[in-house]
Amino acid sequence: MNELTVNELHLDYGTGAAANQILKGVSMHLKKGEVVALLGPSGSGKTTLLRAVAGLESPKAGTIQIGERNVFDGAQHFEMPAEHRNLGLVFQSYALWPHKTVFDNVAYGLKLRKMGSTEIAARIKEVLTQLGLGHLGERYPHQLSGGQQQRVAIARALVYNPPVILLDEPLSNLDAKLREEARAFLRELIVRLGLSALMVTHDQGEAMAISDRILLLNNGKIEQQGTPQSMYETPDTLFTAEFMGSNNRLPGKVVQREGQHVRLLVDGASMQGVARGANVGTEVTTMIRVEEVKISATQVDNAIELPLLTCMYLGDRWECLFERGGAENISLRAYSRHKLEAGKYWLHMPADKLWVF
Amino acid sequence: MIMPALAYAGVLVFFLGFEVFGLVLVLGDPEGHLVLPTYLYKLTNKLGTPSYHLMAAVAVCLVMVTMPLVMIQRWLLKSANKYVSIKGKGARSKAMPLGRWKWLAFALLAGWLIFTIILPLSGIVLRSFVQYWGEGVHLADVLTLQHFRDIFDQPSLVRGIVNTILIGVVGGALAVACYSFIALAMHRKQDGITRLLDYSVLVPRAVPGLLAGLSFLWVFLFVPAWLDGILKGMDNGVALWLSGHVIPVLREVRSTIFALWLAYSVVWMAYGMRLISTALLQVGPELEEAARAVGASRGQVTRDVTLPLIKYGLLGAWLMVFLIFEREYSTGVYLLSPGTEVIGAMLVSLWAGGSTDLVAALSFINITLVAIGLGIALRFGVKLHN
Repeated sequence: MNELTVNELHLDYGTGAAANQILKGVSMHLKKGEVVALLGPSGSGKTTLLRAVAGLESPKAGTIQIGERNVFDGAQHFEMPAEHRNLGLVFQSYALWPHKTVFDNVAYGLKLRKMGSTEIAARIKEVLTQLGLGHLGERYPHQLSGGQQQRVAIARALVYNPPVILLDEPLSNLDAKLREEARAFLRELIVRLGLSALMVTHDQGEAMAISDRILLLNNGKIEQQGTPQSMYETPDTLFTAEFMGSNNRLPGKVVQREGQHVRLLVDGASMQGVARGANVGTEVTTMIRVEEVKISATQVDNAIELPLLTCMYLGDRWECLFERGGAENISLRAYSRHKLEAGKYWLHMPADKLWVF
Repeated sequence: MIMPALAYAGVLVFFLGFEVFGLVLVLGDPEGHLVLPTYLYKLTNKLGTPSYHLMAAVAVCLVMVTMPLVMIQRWLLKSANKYVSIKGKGARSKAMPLGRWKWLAFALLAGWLIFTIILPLSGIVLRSFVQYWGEGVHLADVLTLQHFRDIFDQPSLVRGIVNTILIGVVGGALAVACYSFIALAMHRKQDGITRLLDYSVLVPRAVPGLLAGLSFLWVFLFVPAWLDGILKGMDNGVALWLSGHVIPVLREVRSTIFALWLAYSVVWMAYGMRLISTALLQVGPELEEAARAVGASRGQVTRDVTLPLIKYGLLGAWLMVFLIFEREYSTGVYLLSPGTEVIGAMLVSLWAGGSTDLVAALSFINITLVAIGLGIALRFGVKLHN
């Protein structure tokens, strides 16, 4: 059963000739207990889509349904106000009310729902304990750390059991170390409480770690959607492939196509690659994920030979940069377990990982 | 960060320049320096017949000047979102350390305070306690409380003092409540009505208080008569009842302090509104959106989130409006009648009558009132700066 259905949503900022199209026909759905990430670069419309679902932006056309309820129907000019949609919303800045204590911040949604004060106290105790905030009820937001503020914001959105919880860049205000912990905490919380969540993020790592399904938005349209694995390992478009991971681009020329198999000429060497996407012409973009490039000191097939420029220490491994300047400048990045000596290396690229778009 | 406040202050001070009346009346007049308001005031006094038509013409010119200025201000503040400073992340602002420059800044401020506030004020206080002064007069010999006794002997002056307190405290609170309603109605909306309101609240401010007072006199004189005419013409029961009961009440409003309050509130609306909307501007929109998302209607958002967040802004606005209403004089000059005396307007007429003693004593009382108001406001946690 779908908790949330969005159909052909169009949204403009401004009107008439100055209208700036933000969403150009987006459709999506969210099943019960599913976590969907809206991923995309800034300006792709992901936050606007979330705000339209929450009722904070007015779309121009399309429909939005929450469960069985119609909350927006462009054809009938129906728009349910945000306060009647009964959704949980977590803001990027947390938007905690500075004049209320943690308890009052979380309790506000229940008070509006006319719950008795003893019930409220019990429910809040339960939620704050679930989020590891049990002892902080009397504090004010400015007395909390960033991570605690974020959990209060989540508690405030969860406390009245909304069918869907919307998260707008929930981790982007935390520093890098805390972000990894919060990521694990958020995933664990969502699974433990069986939440249905829609999360906006611009960080593909975050999207892959937390969500069951990713919707990649590009310029107001859905570029591709699927599970994190399918998005990462079998991208359909160059945009998806480039957005989802760290990549090397190679100057390749198509020599011959046999179904999915493509024979290429890269830097004078003959290579085997695999065709992805819809392009069947000769003007192609060739790319490979950084972690798929294998470094070899001796000659191997499906490889090109390049001199080492430098190695960067990343802690668990080295990232090595190979480059040859000159007329046909070519550079490649690859990971290595150990620091490499200066010299020339063969860089092997598995045929099924060398993508031709 | 304080660009909106600066831009608005600039526009207001410019209008104040048009408007300043008392200072010029006392200082400039004997030497023949005239500005528009004193010129108008004198026209009425010297020609014998009030030259209302000239006054109205000048007022229209001033309103014309207002429009381009408001446009400039709106253009400066086009993206008001840039100036949001109360966000939901609970950060605090810090004072800027000045280091060694602290002493220079302190000296400049102290000098400014002494020359602009302490010296003139102590002059007024002194004058109110002596019979006369001048070269060779030993002040201790002429100390007296007679001026204050004179004031309390005159019922109209006592009424003036009571009225001033009422209009400052109660009227100020009512005015802030009205301004808040308008400011909240305009909050977070960018449409034609908001723009129209933004322009229209500044218009009364562009007109010198003297003229504004005069126009309110006209309103109270002519509108009841005009309404009466319409109602009589309608010739039905309700209209006749209205004409018999409501119109006399409306006519009487002119000689009550309500008339004065209305005039003051409208004249100072631009200023009061800006105090409130500057406070509103500092409330991050997502704090209100968060409340709507958890299920609060617009009214509940205003009551539970927006108003508590601008609480100090509102108290500060009340304080400022109180101070303004206490010392406002020009607006009240034409509305001065038995029952609507206020200290400011009485000062102008007493000064014209030459009773310097009473002017000084009344001024002293007024300054005391303002100081008490300031003290109470500070006691209740109004922050003059935050």
